Amino acid sequence: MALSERLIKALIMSSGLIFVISFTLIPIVWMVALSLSGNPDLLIKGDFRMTLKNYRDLLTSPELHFTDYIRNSIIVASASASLSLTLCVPLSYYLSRLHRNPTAVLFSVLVLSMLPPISSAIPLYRFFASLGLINTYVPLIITYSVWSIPLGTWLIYSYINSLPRDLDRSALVDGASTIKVLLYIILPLSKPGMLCAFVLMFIFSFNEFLFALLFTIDHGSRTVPVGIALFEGLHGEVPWGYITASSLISVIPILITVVLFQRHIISGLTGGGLKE
Amino acid sequence: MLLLIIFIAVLLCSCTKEERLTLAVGGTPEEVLKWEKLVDEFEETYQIKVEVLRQPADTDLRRQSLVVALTSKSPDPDVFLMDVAWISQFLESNWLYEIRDVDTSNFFPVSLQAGLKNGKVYALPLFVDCGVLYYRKDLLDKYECPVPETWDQLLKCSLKVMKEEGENFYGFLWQGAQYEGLVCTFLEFSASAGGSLDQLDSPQNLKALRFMRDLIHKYRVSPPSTYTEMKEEEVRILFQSGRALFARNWPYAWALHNSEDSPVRGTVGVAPLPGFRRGTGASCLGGWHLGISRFSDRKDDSLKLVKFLISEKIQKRIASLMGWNPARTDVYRDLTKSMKHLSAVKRACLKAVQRPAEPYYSQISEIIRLFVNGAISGRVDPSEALKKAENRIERLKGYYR
Amino acid sequence: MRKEALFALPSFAFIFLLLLIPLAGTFYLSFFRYTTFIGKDFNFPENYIRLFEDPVFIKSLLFTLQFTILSVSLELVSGLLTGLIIHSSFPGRGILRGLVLLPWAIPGVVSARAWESMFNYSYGLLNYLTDSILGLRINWLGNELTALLSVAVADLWKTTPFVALIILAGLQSIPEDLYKQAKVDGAGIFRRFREITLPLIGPFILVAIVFRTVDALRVFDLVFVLTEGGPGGSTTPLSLYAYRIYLGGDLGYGSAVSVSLFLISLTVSFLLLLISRRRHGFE
Repeated sequence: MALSERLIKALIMSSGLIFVISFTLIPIVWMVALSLSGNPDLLIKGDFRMTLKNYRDLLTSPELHFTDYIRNSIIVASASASLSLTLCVPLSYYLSRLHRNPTAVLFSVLVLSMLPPISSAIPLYRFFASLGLINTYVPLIITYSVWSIPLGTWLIYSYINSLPRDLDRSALVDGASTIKVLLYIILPLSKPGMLCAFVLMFIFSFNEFLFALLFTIDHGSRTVPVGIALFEGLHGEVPWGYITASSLISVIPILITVVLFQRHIISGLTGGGLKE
Repeated sequence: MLLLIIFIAVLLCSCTKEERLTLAVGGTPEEVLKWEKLVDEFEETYQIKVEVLRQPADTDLRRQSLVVALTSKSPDPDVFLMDVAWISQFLESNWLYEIRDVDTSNFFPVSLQAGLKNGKVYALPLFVDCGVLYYRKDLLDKYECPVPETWDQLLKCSLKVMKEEGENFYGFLWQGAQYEGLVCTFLEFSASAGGSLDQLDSPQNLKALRFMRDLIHKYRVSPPSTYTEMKEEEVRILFQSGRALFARNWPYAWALHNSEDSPVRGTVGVAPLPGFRRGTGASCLGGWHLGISRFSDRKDDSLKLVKFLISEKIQKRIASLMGWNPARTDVYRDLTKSMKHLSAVKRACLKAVQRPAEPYYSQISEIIRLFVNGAISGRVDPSEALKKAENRIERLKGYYR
Repeated sequence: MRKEALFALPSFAFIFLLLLIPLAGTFYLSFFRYTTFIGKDFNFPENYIRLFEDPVFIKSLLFTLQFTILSVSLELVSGLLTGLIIHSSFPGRGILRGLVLLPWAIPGVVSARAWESMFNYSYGLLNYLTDSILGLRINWLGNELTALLSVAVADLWKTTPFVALIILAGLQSIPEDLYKQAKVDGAGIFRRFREITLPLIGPFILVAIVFRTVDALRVFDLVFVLTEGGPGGSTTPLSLYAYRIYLGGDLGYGSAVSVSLFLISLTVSFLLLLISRRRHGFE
């Protein structure tokens, strides 16, 4: 009985493991293979000649504009995550310490994040166009920071909420202002939570597509996802080498952050404390 | 605080922009490289610097990026290319700057017409595209068929050859998948029966649509995949593999059919499309026009660039370098010596017909695609499909009246 | 108003100005016939009547719903499986957790491109496999049924990690003692799963359903790249349809399509939240 149960469990586990790992990895491995091959029909013709040409072209030839896209994406994503952080931290502090019914507020903020972006896109577009800001970083940074507020507030709020309250309470009793408490007590203590929020908001902004498509015109402000989506060939021939190589390069910043902050992200999202 | 300062700095530096002359072109990396060569020549002649903005190759995506730029009144791009199918939208939205003092006497008439509004020129064709008929010379000779001038000849010859060539060989390939190309094919059948897309529910269109359906289901000269898969490239690849007698396609396929590793190299002929009666054949007009943005900050230089690109010399270069069909009729005589298919292309383009010129054409096109595809797949009766499509289009016109 | 509310002011001002006002703006625009080529005049409710007469809109609405139902149910199954696996302890679990997270973190456009290259008719990996095993090539993105499935599978790949994480949170909240007790009582592994695990992670599953449903309803980038809405418009979700109408120059009707998508999302999320509140006392 015990033996067969362990056997069943091991069987489910290992078959599940194989499925999960292969399902996750196959598309990535396939992209790596395509990006390293000079021709996309490596399986049909059976000849795989390894080349780094696709990567070299993307990183060195300016007319592909790929380095511009990367630069734009990193600037936009870090600026919007920073801006959003400066908005979320005071709000989270306020909700955690000074508000009577924080869950109601959090809940309505959360509902906002469920909106389809297209349903606010055109008025926003017209607003930025009237200021002559289309094809600059500004509309992307501002829009992304607004759309990151729900996620950021959720994460930072739960972090601040898990901090012991005695410290800031006693500071208030000693006559410190709430701003001072936020700046000198809460802020230093909640650095890990802020880091996690920053990372996730960065990823969100780095990956966003619809607004980036609408608010940019050329490589001056176009971000990586739009650049990758618009790599196209005439009459159906698709430059697969460039597409896959650029996709993989663009994943590198994300990959690094995920590997570095894997534990923070998981515990941040699953609501567990960061200290395990 | 530091972050805020960085943020403000980013805001400031992204706002300062210099005036530049920009040309938006689309296509594969190779095509863009060729564009850059042309532009270099312009820069040398006029001493004006031009920046080439790369757009995707896909027509729809190109329209999207231009619409975004124009509705936001962006000063870039200054000069751009427009597919003939969406010029109306740009014309009627007042996004184009008038192209003045230009000699228009040498362009294909239908193509030139597409860029006019109230007799003024707002867009000039850079190159044209017209549906043509590709045929296998070797097989026509072998089975003693003439190059078809009527659909009936095409059908008879197809049936004859298919009987001998066995399974997996098709008589006539054309674009029937539910996409923009189907509107073109339908337009050609319709015009060659004397019909028009402005009045869908007509006996002429019914005749055309029935014939299209019958090619697949009754005579079986066109494969069943016609209405599910056949687009330009599917037709080209199948024809190029040597498994078909006739194919309707755009002139670009010529060079590919005759490329080094093509199985049909040297055996392919080109002719204008047949009609239901001799001489009624018609081609769907394609091609791209040049336009100048009304919001351009370099209008004079833009005019120079446009005039340069439609000059006789550059029109010839466009044909030899890019393989496109020049928009000027007067350059064809010299070119046909080296590019033999061009004489058929010219004849086809002289009989070209334009798709409905409405600013909301893309929505009309959606409706035509839906119902024509339904009819040729056999799901809907052709006369019913036309009635319904006409009905929908009338309603659509009502919204925009 | 209390002085402390100033802490909330910046974010609320941002949300109000840049999210709620534009949303109201879309409602406002949807009451007009407003195109770049005619001009602007009030025509409520014509744009909304037009929705019901528009076969392309109805097709797009149906696809959106089909896609949502299909992908969310697939994601639940695979998310649950993945969640159970990354919850149990085995050597290399940390690495696996990072690995599983990867598809979720990479841009949707990239995952769409990856799957596009897998589904490619002539040299995609999938057709290579079907061809060498079954001698059969399938035009995955070229016909309506397989295109729907392909989009759902690509979405499954991208979002399984998210569901798995939520399930993981649920699993971590179950006290180990419960299982021990059940084991003592002689409950087998399947019974333990059915009677302990499932009921206790129920609320988490509902949260996953809510998030995934509203996210699937607004799908855009995946389809934009993978199928471009084809074949024959059969995989055009509402957000892509609205986008197309906008770029065709009709801001009024495009807004009406956007509003309809907004109302659908709102209704669905409210219904789901209501269910979850009634069943489990959400939060």
